[in-house]
Amino acid sequence: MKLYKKLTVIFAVCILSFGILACAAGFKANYRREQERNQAYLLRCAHLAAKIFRQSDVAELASDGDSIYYQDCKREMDQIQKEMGLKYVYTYVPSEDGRSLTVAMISGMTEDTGWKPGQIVEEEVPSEALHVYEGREESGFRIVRNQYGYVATAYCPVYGPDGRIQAVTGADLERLEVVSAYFREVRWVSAWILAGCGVLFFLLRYLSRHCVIRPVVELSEHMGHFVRDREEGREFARLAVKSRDEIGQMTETFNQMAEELAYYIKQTADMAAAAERKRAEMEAAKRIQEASLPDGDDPYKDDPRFSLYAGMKAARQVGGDFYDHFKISDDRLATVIGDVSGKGITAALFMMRAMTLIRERTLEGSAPSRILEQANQELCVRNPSGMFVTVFIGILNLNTGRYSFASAGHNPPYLCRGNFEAIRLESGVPLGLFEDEEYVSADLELNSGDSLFLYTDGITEAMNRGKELWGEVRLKETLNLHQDKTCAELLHMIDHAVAEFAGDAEQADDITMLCLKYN
Amino acid sequence: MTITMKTEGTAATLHVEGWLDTQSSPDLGKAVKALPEETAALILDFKKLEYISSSGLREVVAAYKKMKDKNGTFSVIHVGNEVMDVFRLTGFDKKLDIRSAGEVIR
Repeated sequence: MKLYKKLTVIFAVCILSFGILACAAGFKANYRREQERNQAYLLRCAHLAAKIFRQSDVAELASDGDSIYYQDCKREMDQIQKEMGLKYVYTYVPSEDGRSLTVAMISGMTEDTGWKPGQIVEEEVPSEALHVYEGREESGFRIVRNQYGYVATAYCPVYGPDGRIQAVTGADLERLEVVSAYFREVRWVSAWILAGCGVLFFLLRYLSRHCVIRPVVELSEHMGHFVRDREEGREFARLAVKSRDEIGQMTETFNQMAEELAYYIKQTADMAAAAERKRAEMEAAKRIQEASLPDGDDPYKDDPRFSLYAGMKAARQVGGDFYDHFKISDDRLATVIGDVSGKGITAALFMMRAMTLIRERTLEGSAPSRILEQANQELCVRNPSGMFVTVFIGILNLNTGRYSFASAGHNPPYLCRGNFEAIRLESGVPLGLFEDEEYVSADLELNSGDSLFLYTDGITEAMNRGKELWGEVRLKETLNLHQDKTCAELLHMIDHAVAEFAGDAEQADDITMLCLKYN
Repeated sequence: MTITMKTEGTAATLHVEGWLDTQSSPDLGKAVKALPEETAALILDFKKLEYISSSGLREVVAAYKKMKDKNGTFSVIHVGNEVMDVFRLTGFDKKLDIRSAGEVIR
């Protein structure tokens, strides 16, 4: 239900209740006064009628209803009854025990009562009349509904010439007339009161609409338009604060809130844009990094002495894995694989640096251990973030099959000679940590058909949802299962097995592999 | 992963528990950074360490270098077999004072 409707109903109920209560209270107060006035009037009538008998003996008078004196008195009483608008006026003498009365005179519709002068009516005399007759009360008054109708009666004593109470005079007034006259009067007053209530109601309704409802509706409409206005590119316009009441306060609060909201919305949008820029930059960095790796898809097809295949599958972030292969001379092939600790731009930049340094030193013709030492020395300089890189480098003499290699903290590659086994090697610490580190070269004699598998720990430390590592045992099993495949096929098999193991777990680290087969 | 620190005079021991991987490694870095300035001997207790990744190694080396720079001592103790393999593979076992579960500090 709307507030306006609610208020209307509340006003209506309150005002109506007030009007009814006011009318009832007025009615009651006036009714009592009216009653008192009525009583006094009736009593006066009764006294007036009682005076008729001041000079006479009532008992004697009543004994002869046809006497002239009686008729005179009767006329006088009739006159009072008519002029005063009474129903009956009568005088009677109650019996000793109050169980009957002797009628002296009666005016009004006598045929209704059937009372005649001198008649003894067997009827309980009202206690008010009896009290008056016995001199216990000055006067009596009662309202009763009996066989004579609904009447108000006033009683007063009739004194004789000797000053004794000789009878009781009663004056009856028809109640219905009194009440309906009273209602006629009260009706108008009530109508005025209710009319006043009606005016008050409409006034309150108007005021509530003007001072409360309309400002609130305006405010809520503005609130509703806030978002739409923003979307349509309109600036937020402050609402005018028209009053200093709660609604004005609410308007001011809304103004502040809207301004703050606009500020935060803008800030959030800026932040989202910045995040998007950063993401795009990272994406670009990743592309540059990947592009800097040589082509892995057997670039030496023309050379029958060996086949080679390499690949890197980067994790979500820019990572630090790399591989490299190139011919130093026509009969010497270099294979390099490395893993920079950490992730992100710093790792990627460090990786590029390491890769370039190693390639340069290798092309100069140094031995693997010497290459690592030289690269290490340069990487230790200007390495403020304490990055390091594990590297395995091997140089194959394509004519003799001699493979000389050195490792800087890298996972030992696998050699397949019948079965894949990890090469035993003496490793130095990763590059970039200790400037004076010395590395050791070792040699292997490759026979025709031997394969080498170089990899980074992204493979062995690939994780599934249960935080289980793929591990070297699985790697070795898989390698041996596919040992008769070509380099390309072998790498695909490993990649497939790792992916299957990891399931829907996110790839945490780069996966890099290089396979070299000596023919 | 949880790290609890115990200090005794100028010697501090960090007990590292659980996995020291890419996600948790920075916490070890922070713990080392938060060590009291006067710390002269740092011991990493790997008794309850289950796994260490290359980023974990980096934090260990960083801690080693920090201690070396201020002429303090640095040891890794109670290293389990799997974690020890990683230290051996990278050659750190020769450069740093790293003891397996059986060894005691001299």
